[in-house]
Amino acid sequence: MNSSDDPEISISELGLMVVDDDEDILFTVQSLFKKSSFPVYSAHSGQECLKILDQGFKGVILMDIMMPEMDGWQTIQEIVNRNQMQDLIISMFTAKDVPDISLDHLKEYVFDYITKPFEPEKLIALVDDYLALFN
Amino acid sequence: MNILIIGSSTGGPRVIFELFRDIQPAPVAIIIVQHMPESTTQRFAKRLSQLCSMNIVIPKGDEDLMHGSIYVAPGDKHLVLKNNETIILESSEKVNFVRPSIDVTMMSLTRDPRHSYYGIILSGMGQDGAQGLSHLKILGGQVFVQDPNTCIIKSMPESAMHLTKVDQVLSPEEIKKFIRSIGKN
Repeated sequence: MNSSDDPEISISELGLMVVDDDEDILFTVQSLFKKSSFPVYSAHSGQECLKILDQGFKGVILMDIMMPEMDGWQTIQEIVNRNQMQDLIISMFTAKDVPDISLDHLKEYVFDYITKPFEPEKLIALVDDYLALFN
Repeated sequence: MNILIIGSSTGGPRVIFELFRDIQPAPVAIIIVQHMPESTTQRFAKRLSQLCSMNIVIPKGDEDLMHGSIYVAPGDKHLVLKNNETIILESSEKVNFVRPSIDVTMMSLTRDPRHSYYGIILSGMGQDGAQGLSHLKILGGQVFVQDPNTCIIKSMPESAMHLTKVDQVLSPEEIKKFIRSIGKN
């Protein structure tokens, strides 16, 4: 499993990053995509997500919303502030079924909204579709 | 000319890709206003071009609308129609927190006997497109929303329905059939 604990590396391949403070979710998604041809990175927090981005991550991010210290929206705002949206497609990945309308100013950065629990086949198909955007 | 404007936000792209999968060139000029940053525009347009044989255009400004083309409003610019047929890009203030704004595009149209207008609002957060759809209806256009029950995020279609008596509430499959029917009668 790739995580922000890996030594400083330059990430050159397109991949998937899951950002969630729930270890079970990270494990489930990693397992789901273990036979994929692309690398899958796990971040337990917004801060870890930013660290992985600083290593050069490009690709699809599944972003949980409810995380302590820095929630998913705050993480996206930080990514925007750092001008790191260039090579990313972000989907919220959350048990919250209705987004907070006060976050309208960030909606253009959120391509999709996937609710948990999710259907594994649908998640795989969606991630494949989003990675196809980089072809 | 038949002019269709599709407004879309979070959750909309997956619907759009299905709507246009395998579509043949049709007698309609389609404008897609998808809330997205500039960095995503090229990818979005390229994906569309992989899925269908219509001419996909990311306008730079001054293009005249043509049947058989899909115009993808570029991120971080408002797409405005001059004389109801020429694309102008503007960097004015965000509207409804977004640029491009669906309202800005739709509300740039005026009554014009040369053209038939159609507007569709898909899944998304917020209210962008509600006023625009109302405006199209007043101009005599046909207006639709994606059935909120099929939406990832309902607020855009629901906001539109709150403001306007839409002509139909359609599932993605029904929207797909409708688009293919434009100009065929």
